[in-house]
Amino acid sequence: MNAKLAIETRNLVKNYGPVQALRGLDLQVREGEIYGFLGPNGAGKTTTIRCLLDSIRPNAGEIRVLGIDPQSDPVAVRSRVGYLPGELALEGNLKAIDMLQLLNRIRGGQGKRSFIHELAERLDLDLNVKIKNLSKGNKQKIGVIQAFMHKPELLLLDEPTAGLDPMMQREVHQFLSDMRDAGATIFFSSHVLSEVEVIADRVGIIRIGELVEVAEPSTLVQRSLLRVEVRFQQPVEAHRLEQVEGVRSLTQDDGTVVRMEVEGEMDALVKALAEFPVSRIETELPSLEEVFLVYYQ
Amino acid sequence: MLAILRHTMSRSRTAILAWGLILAIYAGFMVTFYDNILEMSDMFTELISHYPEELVAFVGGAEGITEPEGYLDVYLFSYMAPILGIYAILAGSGLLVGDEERGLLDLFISHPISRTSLFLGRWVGLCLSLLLIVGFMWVGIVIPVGSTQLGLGAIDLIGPFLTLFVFLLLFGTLALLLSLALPSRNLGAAVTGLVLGGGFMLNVIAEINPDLETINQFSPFAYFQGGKAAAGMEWGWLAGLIAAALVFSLIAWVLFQRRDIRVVGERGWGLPKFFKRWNANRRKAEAT
Repeated sequence: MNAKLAIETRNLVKNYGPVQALRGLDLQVREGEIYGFLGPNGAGKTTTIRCLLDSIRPNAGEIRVLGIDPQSDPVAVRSRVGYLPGELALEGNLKAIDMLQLLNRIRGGQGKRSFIHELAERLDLDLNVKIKNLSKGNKQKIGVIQAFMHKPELLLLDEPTAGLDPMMQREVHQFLSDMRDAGATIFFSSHVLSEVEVIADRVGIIRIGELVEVAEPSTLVQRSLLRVEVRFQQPVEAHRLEQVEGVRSLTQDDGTVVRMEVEGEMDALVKALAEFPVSRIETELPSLEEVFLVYYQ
Repeated sequence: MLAILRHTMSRSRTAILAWGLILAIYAGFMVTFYDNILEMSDMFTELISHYPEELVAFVGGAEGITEPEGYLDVYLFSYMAPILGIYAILAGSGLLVGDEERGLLDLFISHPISRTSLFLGRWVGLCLSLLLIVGFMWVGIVIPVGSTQLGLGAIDLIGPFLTLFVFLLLFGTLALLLSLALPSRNLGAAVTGLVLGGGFMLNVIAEINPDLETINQFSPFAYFQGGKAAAGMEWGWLAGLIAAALVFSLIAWVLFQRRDIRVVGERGWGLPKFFKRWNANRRKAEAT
């Protein structure tokens, strides 16, 4: 196994009874990169992360996290890793600070108190409120802090921005960039393509327990379909646009509104539209499912 | 391990205080009645002789009820074991699987702590919480006992409470084991509760039906001395109960080591499939 890889799995198989959650997953995450792990619900994202932490045991295959086999020495792995679960559960009766101190004690005091407060300040979280009185977003902030507080070498984040408002999402993205700049590796799962596009250096797509693609986010988006709506100043004969490279599923409402899907670059479409009196162009990023459609056509 | 132990004790403190203080007050109260019972011993013996034997058996038998150890057994220990057994079952079944079903275990286990340390932290916490509740009761009796004619000192009373503690530990560890072996905490607690309730009833009925004595030998209640331990300990019985509790704990530890820690929503924790199928068939039959 490669020493320069923060995470490496080979032929990883995990079954839950008759259900095959991972079917020979081969994953390579380089040291110091932000790796987005994309997949729809039930694809095996959480199962993969939990195998890396030895919370669950694979049926077959090899795992190395920071060069260590998690099944042989889980404590060594976890002492160098920060983890944010997808379904975060906390002790409702504790104050946020008490919960963080509890987790820090379990961690053997790896996190510094001053850094915990610094993180809370950045995330605008009052640490003296009981967890049961916090909103879902604020609870998620506790999850983010506990994952970051000991400045881990590797962060395993399962849907890290779920429940956070856009401002806090940006703050978490900034955290991730800062951590990467400080030398940490970040492996995070998501089903939001736009999030991955913003922060990930590389993206892996998992589908039914198999890694089907590893690419840079821009490549991924280029390969996917983009929904485009064009409004014209007056009714036009838009059927000519069907001939443009990459355009498909074109529909026209009343002659002034045309909707279509575009695969790949927009360049040919934009040039073709120059012949028309365009009023407005709206584009919509594809959903993850639509990205998958491209991969499985 | 210490962080987990501290957390276990911290979250159990309300339950420990509530159970411990209430039962301590109750136990102290019962002891102060002993002198009255003693004064009316002839009348009391006469009264009990008219009770149905099932009722007498239910309260632990009338044998030596005016003797200190018999009094303690009938009025405190005979039913304190099943009552506190409920606490032990709830605490034992929730020790690890309760956290798991709430999703907390997934978070804890992602920290640098071995499964053995996590298990031990929780297990020692269970032992301490049971010990504290029983200890509160012991204090509750020791305080007023000097002003009664019970004639037992603080040291004499350790034996009965020791047997109670070990008995509770047995059911706590059985609940822990079954919660790990069965699909859910509730099912583990329910099955252990059946063993507790069934064992209690079997012990009662065996008092009046000698034919059940053979089966009753498999019940932990048959080896629970309670108040009678004040007159002399059955060390073999106590050692047997301790050994059983340790075996249950050891098997639970092995199961926990091998366990895939579950998260909320990952898999169903309901009844096994055959129960579900049976339930669905029953509903279908009722509908038609």
